Amino acid sequence: MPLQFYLYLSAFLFSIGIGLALSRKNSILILAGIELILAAANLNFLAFWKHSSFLEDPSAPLFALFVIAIAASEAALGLALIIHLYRHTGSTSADSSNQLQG
Amino acid sequence: MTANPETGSPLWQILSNWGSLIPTILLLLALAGFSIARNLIRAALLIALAFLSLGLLFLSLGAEFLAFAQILVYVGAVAMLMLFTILLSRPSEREHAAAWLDGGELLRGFLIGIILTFILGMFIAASPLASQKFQNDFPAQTSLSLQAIGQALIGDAAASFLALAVLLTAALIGAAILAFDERP
Repeated sequence: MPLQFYLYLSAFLFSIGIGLALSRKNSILILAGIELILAAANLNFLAFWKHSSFLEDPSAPLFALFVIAIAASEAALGLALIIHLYRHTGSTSADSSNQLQG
Repeated sequence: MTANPETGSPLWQILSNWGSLIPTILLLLALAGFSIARNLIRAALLIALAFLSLGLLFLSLGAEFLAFAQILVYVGAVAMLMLFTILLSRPSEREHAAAWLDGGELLRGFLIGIILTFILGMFIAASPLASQKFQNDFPAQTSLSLQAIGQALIGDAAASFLALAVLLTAALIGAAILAFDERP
């Protein structure tokens, strides 16, 4: 597959992630959208690595590995926050956490 | 598409010839289902399928270690965490009935996605990446060995690897504290 194929695919993945994160009310689905954005970045890293002449250099896979680890810790923290929020408000809707608004 | 028969595992050769289209179709179907799913549990299972097909796509890109890390971390951990969170936080009947997904929400997400895809696609099409230097398929495949990644992790990237370990530990302790129920 040519490089463009992966670039268009990851652009689409990124856009879906942004669209989900901005439009959904449920916090869990917003988090899923953010995970999709990070996955799109990873796809780009690997596609550029595969089409470069540095195939012996592990930098790109290492960077993608770090992104995966950071995304995992972000998801764990985010979901713990959502559970905490649910205990307070009885809902996982992002609109229900409005106690700080003046 | 020409895969060098001398290098790479047989699995990789099959995947490099046929493999990137099937995961892509699977990914797009899973994302479409996820975007319009009304049932939260179904949405979580579909996002797990999307992560799985993304892992297969990584496999077709020749990054085997990354592919298995992706499947282990995303399908095994993140999607399951999402499922647990959904099960632990049941929405009230009223919220269930009042549609987690109303038409306006779907339309907004759809518009944002389409417009952003269009803008990014125009940038990609106009970029010098469309020149023919990149047009050809993969160069002769030399799959990165697991050994090279391991040596980089304890060599050049050791400091960032340790920092990542500290970050993960802190995040998991923080998550445990946040989700801890202090009521007796």
